[in-house]
Amino acid sequence: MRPVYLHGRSLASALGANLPQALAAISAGGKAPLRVSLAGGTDWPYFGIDLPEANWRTRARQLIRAAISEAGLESCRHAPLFVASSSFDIGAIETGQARLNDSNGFGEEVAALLEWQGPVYLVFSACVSSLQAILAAYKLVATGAVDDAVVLGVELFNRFSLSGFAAMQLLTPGKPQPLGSGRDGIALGEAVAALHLSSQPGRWRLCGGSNLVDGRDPTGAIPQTVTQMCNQALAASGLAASDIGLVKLQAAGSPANDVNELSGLTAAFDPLPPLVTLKAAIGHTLGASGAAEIALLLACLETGIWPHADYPLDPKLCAGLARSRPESVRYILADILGFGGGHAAVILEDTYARSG
Amino acid sequence: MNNFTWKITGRTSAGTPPENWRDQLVVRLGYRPRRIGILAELALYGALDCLDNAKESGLPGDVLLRVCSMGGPVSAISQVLEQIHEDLPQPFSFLQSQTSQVLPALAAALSWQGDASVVMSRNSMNLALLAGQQAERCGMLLGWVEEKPCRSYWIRLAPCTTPTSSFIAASSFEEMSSESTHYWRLGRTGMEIAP
Repeated sequence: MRPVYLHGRSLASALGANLPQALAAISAGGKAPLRVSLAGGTDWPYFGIDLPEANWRTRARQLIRAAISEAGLESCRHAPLFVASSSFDIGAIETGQARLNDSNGFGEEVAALLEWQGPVYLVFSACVSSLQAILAAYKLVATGAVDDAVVLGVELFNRFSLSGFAAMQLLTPGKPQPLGSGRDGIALGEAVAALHLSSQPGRWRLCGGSNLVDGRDPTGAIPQTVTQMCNQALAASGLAASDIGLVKLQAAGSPANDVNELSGLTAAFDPLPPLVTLKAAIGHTLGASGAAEIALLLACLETGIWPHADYPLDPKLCAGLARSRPESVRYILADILGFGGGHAAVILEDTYARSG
Repeated sequence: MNNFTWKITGRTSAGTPPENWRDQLVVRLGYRPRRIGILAELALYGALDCLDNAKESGLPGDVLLRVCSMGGPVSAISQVLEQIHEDLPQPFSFLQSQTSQVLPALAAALSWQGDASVVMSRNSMNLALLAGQQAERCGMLLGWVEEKPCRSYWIRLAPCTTPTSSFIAASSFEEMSSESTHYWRLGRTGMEIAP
């Protein structure tokens, strides 16, 4: 196995059209979610991307092209492309701009749009889709099958997902408060994020990760499986729990799932490393969340611009969120937990933080 | 790259499942699956049939499970779209409309926990190659499941030492999944097969 590095990255989210805009928005205190009305007169927060364009497909094309460009991926068109999403083009289908056909059509449309020459895979495993895509791409580069691979997380507005999460009573009526004492649900959001994995050395090394599906709960996290996920990710990366200097949480503001995640992490780490969550800033971007949050996290770590919670944390969780960028972090574990029993984590190394 | 080799230890018929496949699934499971949707039931039917064919009562924890479904749970998706179109406040079928729900249904029925995902590609040979590159020394359970037309095709592969048989480069997925193919090997340029 050879080392794998993260090179180009990009993010369009509620915080802005690209990563510099996202960092500027975090510096300015973040952005409030929009409100979206659903049938029955209900009204929900939603972290939408500020790009007014009535045609779903046209908007998707603009955002995807911009993400590929921001990540500098125009020269990688022969690499494998992993498109990760939980909804693909359901937003176009529900508005009559596309027919319900087969999901691969969206991947082919993206490939044609980008004039992609390499193989295209669609990862369709709900919230953990992007992390599974990163792990698949990682293995291809690490084993020498390819020198480069690209992960594109795409989650764009659709009433289908919003209605479904509302029906399952998983949404907050106000603002999401991950680990907060008043947390009462999640808020969904849009994101288009690209990550370039390469064998060429760079600052951020992808050390390994784990992906576990547990059938005991099809909608939530299992504490013991969270612990196993961490242990497997550490073993795959050749690291000990004490090496991890920061954990990027799934934490989305769910009353039960945040507790389960913390419980599983506490069993894996003693003491818990500093924690960070990005879902109060960009919402839960479902299938794109793994790529979106890693792109944003690395930008935050490089610049020192740091998201902070503007709400009281739950003292019962016995866990705080890092108020600023932790000093001298070398290894970071980033996890996503989701529908479908998904528990996935990756570990990243800041090679600039290597001692000696 | 290492020449990881697998033996095909079980597979289902490539044809359409029998009309009474749901009844057969109930008998096989010993209970009627509830609220998991048609796609997940079809996946269960095929996966269990494949494991029976492989003479396995369960799935080892280190096996890689990959499911491909181009159409996904179309009946549940259509139902949710209709509910949204009619401005009904709560799409009750939402969970069943998520293709990923196939994974916990399989994990629960097989009393299994491990590396599973839903990955799609029009080219099944590419998917099989990707799975092999992910699995390395581990085994695989690969399934192609569709509601319309009804299909649940599964292959179980176990890691093995390279047999003396001569390998050739696979030219199609049909060749890879043919009854006369018994071994897959990860070659330099793609998947290789042997009788």
